[in-house]
Amino acid sequence: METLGSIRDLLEVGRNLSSWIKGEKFESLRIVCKPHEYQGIYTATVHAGNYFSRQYTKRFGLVKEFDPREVCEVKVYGLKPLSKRVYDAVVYTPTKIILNLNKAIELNLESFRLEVVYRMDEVSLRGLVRSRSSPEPLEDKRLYHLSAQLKDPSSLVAGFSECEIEDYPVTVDVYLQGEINTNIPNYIKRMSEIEAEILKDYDPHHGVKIIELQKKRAGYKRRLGKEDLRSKLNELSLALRPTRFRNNYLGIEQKRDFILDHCRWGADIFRALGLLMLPRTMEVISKTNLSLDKKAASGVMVYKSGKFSKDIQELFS
Amino acid sequence: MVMESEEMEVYLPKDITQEEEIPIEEIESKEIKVYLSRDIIQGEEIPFYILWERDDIQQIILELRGFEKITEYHNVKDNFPLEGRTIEIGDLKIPRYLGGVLKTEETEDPYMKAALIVIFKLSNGNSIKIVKERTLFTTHLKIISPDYIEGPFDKPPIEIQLKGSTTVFINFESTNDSDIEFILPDEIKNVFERIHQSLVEGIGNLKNEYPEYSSEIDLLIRFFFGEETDKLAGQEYYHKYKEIEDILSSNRALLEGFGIVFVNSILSQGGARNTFFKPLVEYFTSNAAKKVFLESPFLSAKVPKGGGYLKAIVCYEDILERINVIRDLMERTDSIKDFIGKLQDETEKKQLCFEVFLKSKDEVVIPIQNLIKIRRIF
Repeated sequence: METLGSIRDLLEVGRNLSSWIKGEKFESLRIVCKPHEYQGIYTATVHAGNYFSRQYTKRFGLVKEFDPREVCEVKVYGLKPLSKRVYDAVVYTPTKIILNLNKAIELNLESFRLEVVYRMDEVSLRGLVRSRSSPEPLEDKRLYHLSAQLKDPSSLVAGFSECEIEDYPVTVDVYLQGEINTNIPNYIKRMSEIEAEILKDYDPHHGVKIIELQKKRAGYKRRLGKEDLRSKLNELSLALRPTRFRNNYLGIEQKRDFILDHCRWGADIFRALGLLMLPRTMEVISKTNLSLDKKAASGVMVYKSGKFSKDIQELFS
Repeated sequence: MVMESEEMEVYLPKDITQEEEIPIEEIESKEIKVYLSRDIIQGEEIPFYILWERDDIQQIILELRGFEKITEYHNVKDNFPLEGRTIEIGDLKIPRYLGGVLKTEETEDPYMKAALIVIFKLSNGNSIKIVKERTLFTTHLKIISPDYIEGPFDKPPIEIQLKGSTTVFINFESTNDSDIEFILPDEIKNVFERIHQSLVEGIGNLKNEYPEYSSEIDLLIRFFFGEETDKLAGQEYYHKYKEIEDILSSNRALLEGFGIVFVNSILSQGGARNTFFKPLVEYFTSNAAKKVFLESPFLSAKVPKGGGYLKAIVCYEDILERINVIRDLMERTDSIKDFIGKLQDETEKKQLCFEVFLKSKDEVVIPIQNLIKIRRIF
């Protein structure tokens, strides 16, 4: 797989495409950050409206080939008079992608949009942006500060109508184990300890001690009610499902530049004895856009730790 | 809520600003924005940026208090020196934006004050000064241990004091010449071994049911047979399991078959509750509530008959190091196994040593939480 190594490479291919397409056009270059892939997208909205430009293109033909290792997708959309995707204009073969803009001209389109999606190198993007998230909240335990800024905005100046970085991800690791540990009531901790103690004692002469422990355990068990501790923990792990967690306990402070994207269990998971997996962290990904008009972005991600604590308490109450 | 206007802004000493009568909020929100993040941990590199909408700014002067240095400038001409603190408008590549990265130092003070002072020199000779004050946080560890202790004791005789607010990750190791070793108690090892054995059997049977995946299943079995079990810690066990999961996740039928084997083998051992409650206790005793994470909460000190010297190392890392190492490794490693192995090896942990003579009549195994207490002082 070949990727464009830098923003300069993307600008270069953009310029080549731009000089190839004649006529009145609005062009943009975007770098879009997808979860597993970075894409450099050249978009041109072309007004082929007037008779002369149509004649011009008819005469010279508009066929171009792309290397599928470098380009993942080429799309042509008709805008006026009919707006729909022109599938005929692009042919995919194993070794090349053939774009035939004549198909768009044949449809007598007055205007159409061309989109060429290049694969971008992840490293090149990191060379463009400097971002940061708070390692942990220290001044206010709910707030994580996010920021992203362009290292060299002048590299985006290239004569394109628009040039921007879309959905730049900034990740926060939210440590949850503290909240889970403090809000699970003590009697449950004590009960688990007693259970573990009973199970570890195999000595048949310790019958009296075991009975004592069982008695204590029964007391705690009454407090837990009819439900099994295991089902409570299942409920807890449901609350920790990424989508649910995101919707219930996360937010972005208003008027700032970031939007909350998604979250997932972090790599730092507490794997108690390799069996019971409760997360230490939730990895929260927020996204922002950067461009020449927006050289830097800042925001605050809110983790409603109080609500999370309260919900755990209620779960076990 | 931390809004921009609430931040500590010192607006213009009298002598330079008398003619400028713009309220601070207005300057901040509409005309000049200086951003420096909060919640900074000592040792961190912290980006800042300045955006402005005014045409009369001629020069920007940066002053650092408590920050070590500037390690990057953004949007200045390529030959601009990093030591330079006065930026002329002509030094910028594109107008109305200046960015950079500040380096912080690790200090003795767990709540060190620092400030970035930005002075804008205007074309009419006036200046605007914006000050961003920040606290640079860290945590210091101190071990308070007597030279001699005699068991049994009611409360833990050794104390680890944590001064500061940042999260730390702690592990304990005994040195080679220590009479007393830190070990995992037998009953914990038994839990591992039982699960291990039952899984090996179960997976072996799986081969009969799914002959088409025998090569994958062989790979799984190799994992279980290939390694010695007595050194397993919680995470190590998991990484084996996780790798198997990766193989399985690519095939649904096999995954389901394996799932049944996994559940059955645990249940058929009669130790299902054991395998359930033990991990729960491990989770609870990991100390996370005090913003301390014990890497092996079940670790215990094995004291020989008559007692002996405990020579121990307390290894710790702060959250910044932890996050950096995890993110770096996630990019560099392909497998969970590799990841966890490197996580243990590559983190440059800070270390503290202590030595104590522990007297005991009989051979005993003392859980670490009965021996060492962790206390945080904010």
